[in-house]
Amino acid sequence: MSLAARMLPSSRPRPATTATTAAFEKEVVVYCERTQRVHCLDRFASIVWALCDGTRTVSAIVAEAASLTEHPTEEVRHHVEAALSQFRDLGITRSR
Amino acid sequence: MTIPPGARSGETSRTFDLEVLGSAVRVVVSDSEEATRVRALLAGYPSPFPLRSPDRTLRLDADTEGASDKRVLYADVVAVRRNMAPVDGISALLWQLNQLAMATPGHVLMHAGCVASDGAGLILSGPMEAGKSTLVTYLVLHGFGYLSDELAALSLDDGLLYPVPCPIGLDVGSFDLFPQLRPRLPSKFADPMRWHLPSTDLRPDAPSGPVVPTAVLFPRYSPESECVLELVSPKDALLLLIEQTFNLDRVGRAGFLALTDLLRHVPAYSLAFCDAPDAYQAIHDLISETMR
Repeated sequence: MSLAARMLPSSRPRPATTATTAAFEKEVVVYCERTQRVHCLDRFASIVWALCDGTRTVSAIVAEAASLTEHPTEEVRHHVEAALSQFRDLGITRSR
Repeated sequence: MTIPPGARSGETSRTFDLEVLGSAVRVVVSDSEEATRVRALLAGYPSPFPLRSPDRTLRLDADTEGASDKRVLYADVVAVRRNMAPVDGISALLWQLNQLAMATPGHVLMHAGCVASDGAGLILSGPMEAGKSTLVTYLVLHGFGYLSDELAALSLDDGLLYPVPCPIGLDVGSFDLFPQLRPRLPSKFADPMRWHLPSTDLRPDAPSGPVVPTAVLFPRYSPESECVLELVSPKDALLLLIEQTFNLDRVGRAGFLALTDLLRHVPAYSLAFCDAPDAYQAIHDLISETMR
């Protein structure tokens, strides 16, 4: 199954209630109380994470991430979807 | 005020009441000679104040099910170790005291030494063999207050570091650095591989009360290394501290946020060293700079 098929463009990911964020300059550390694991996000994933506020759709996150990183949207889309997919697999985001 | 542990009135001098991170712990040692040794080792712990019924009891007793002169350690009513030589029984008792500290609520507990200078607390965190105990010993000998050799306890309530004043455990590789500290003990208590040093043996006024955390150090002993102190980013320091945190599963989100808050306000450094006096000087200068 492709990443795009797993993540609807209209879904609006947000941090799980069990996830706690520590933002340090350009990187983010996320603690998941459910799994008791700590996840250190790289800079790009940290940008995506900050955009996951439950109001933005995946499409909007792609567009904003492209704007913030000054890369073409199509180039960024795959990376955003990969990050979102991984967040979901780690249990640190929920979508609505 | 620190009140040294003492015999309870009306009982023998083999019973000691200690305060361990807010829990009242009673230690009972059946052999009088071993009780004397244990009393010396626990000299840094305060007594519960006011005295109250113990929350937990540790009892080091003759193991009637084992060979002669063997010991059994009970935690409350459960035998946690049996068939031990007296020296191992005392080591097991000290280990179990740290286990009780780790089970207390209200603190993030890190595998770290903890010392203080003029109320400024310093966390020395790292894995085994990093040189923490050697540094702690040297620092306390040279005027730093002692909070712990094994467990840095960061309060979730007030953000202070609280003492867990277990004896310093110095391994054989550091014996030559501190020949004056060699314990003079009957052979049945002598451990050829490890010295247990109560901080009061280093300096009678070594035990420290709670202190404000002022810096986090990640020491790393290396025989080839010069003494190098380098700033560690808050994010990297958080990850390193979490690696050395024993009870994140219990303190959860509050513990994670307490560590994050600590590292937002307190600088962290790596310290590569091969020579304790050089490391002491670097730490002394660092504390002076931070306090200015």
